[in-house]
Amino acid sequence: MPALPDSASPTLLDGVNNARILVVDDNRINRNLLIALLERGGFRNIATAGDGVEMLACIPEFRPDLLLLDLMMPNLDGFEACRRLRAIPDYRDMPVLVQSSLSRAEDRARAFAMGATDYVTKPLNPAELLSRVRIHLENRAMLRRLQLYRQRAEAELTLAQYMQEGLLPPPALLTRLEQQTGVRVSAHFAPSSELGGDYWDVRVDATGRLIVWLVDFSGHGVGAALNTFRLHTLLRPLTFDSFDPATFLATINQKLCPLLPRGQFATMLAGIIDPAHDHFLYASAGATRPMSWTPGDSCPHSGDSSGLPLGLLPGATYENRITPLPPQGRLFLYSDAAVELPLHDNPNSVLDEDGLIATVAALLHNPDDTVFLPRLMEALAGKGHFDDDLTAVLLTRRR
Amino acid sequence: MDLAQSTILVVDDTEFNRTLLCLMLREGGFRHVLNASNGTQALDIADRESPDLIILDIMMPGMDGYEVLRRLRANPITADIPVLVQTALTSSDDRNKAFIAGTTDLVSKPIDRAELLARVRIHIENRLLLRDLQAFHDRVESEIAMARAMFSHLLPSPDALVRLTRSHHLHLYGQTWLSPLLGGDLWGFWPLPDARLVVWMLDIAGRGVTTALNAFRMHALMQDLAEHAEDPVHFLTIFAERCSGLLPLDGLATLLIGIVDAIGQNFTYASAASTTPLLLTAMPQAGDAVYAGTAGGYPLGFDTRQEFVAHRLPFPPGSALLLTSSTAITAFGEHPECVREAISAQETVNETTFQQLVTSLTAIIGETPEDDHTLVWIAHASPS
Repeated sequence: MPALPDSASPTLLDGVNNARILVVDDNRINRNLLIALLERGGFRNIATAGDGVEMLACIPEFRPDLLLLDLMMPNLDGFEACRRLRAIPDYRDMPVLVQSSLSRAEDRARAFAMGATDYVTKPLNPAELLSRVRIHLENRAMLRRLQLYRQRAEAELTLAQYMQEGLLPPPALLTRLEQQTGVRVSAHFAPSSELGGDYWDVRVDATGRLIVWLVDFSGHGVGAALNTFRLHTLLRPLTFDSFDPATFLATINQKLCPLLPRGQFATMLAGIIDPAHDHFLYASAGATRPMSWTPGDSCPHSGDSSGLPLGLLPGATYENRITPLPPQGRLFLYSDAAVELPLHDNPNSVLDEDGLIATVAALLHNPDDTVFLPRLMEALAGKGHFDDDLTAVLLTRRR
Repeated sequence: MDLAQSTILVVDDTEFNRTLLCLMLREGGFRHVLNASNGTQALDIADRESPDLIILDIMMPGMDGYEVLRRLRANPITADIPVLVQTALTSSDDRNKAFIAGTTDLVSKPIDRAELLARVRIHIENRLLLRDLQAFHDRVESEIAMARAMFSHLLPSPDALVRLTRSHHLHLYGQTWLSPLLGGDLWGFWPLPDARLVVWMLDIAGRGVTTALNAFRMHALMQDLAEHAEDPVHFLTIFAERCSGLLPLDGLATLLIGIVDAIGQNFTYASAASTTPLLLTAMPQAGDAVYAGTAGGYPLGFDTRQEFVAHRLPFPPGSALLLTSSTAITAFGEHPECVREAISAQETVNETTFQQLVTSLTAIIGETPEDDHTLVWIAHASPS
């Protein structure tokens, strides 16, 4: 038998030496040979089984990290035992290293077809066997580590996602607001990963007029989300008895400037629907252009939205503007992911405002509020692939 | 997972062998097969294209397969690519040499098609799964890193602390051990007129993204209410009110806020279930070297109608105030001798004392503990 590699070799993986290995062979001498070989390779945690039945019985308790599996065994041979093992979801990924004296091509093919991960023929080359065992165990350890990371991260991010959705107005609130203000609000909120930098909200002023804002913090993911939580906290206690959009933005800007580190900023649009004047009075801090649509028009009106984003300059001032919004009219607000949408058929260009207006215009004539946003999302998905947080809010004056 | 999208590099000096392998792979559904006829070409393609698997011949003129393997493993770009050596060499030594050089797997020539495809599929599936998981890991880690940077940006900078010495006759030091996951320890200060200083310490239980989100909420609230800080009890009352409904029921947040008055020689503070502030002094007439103030109160978000109480600690020259996060208190509590040793090491309580506490705590919890830990040290700038 060729010499074993020096088991004190420093290259490896003390981590996997604790791995649990199950040796399955009906021949006692073979089992002992394998145990001795594995022990000299530094593995201590070894169990044995004499046939396929014993193997399947002992796996749930021993929980091996790797199986060394003979093929020719009584009661239940290695082929069938392997097939049954793979049928169990928990064991689909367990490394199964077949070690058999069967050496024909069809035996090997059959073993792999039954789900074997690897195949070595007897008589064994000890060094090669140990190398293969270590490769499989290292790989498994890395996979497990990454899978565990993924599980934990996903659980945590899902919780955080739930928290972020909690910042937004719930459906029950929107229903009440519609009764109170006559404005129906529907929204689409789709961060590019689990968390995003977008946040929108609604309020009612002292005279029953609806206030709405949409904020888009720079970046995305957890960092951008942290800022949405900050802003939500700052806005929470405010009352809106006499709402002036430009003053509102200036106030928010003052509060955000000391909080945001250099390089971070937010675009924001805030406004109030004023039925008495059939318009939407708003101010913009570098947000996208609000679209308002009058029934009968073929195209929505796109309002001016220039203004300095929040967080850049303390003391920045903003301008109040209006866009028409008669009864049955619609107001459409959106984060810039919609206009910055990279197009499928030309990844170097984006949808742009004109493209969005055209897409929106086609859908505005359908009076059914519930289909506008889903159809818009479908249409946009057909045109391009979103790579940023997308928020869209549709407000319809029902009276 | 689409195996057909994967890329395989076939390396063999014989064209016949390369063609045969390509044919077998194509029949197996693998359409993107690259070819190399020698080692140099193989290394170049591997580096540029990062194939998902390399099928590698051993016996080649010039650079043999062993050398190709060694170089692949030495290059970080190609080190993790699975390699399936295919060789006519049969001796155990030759086979072992391949494993020692770093191959992932080995098949003998002549190659059996079924076995080749079975092994290739296993390696490709594994590789794609690993890449997927690794990509997720890297993306999330980079988001967490950004969040961590934003978090440490909230903490007072060393420059800001140094400026206090002149303006407020105080030495203020802070040491925060940040959890590699995200945490929830924050502290800060606001200068007041006439050389007084507001100091606050916020401790949000837990770690991870949700804790950090709550910490940012709390911090935004602190900043928003800063104008009320001249009266710690009043501040806490308003703060607790604003917190209601903001924190989940199991999101415990504790807060200590107080005013350090170097001239008046006292520290007046209020607590919502915070840790107790400690007064450290080495002067024999002060009694105990470490004097613990009272804290008390309920955690925030818990009971909005709680009444807060003002406490007071003396703050004579030569003494220092020590504020600690709950995690730090726990760590010190398990090793009380550390605090005593740090204090008794000097005749006076000074910056060295603080550094010794920092060193001790680092020794107890390690350089990157799982939770955030915070120590804040406030001392007179003028000697006693």
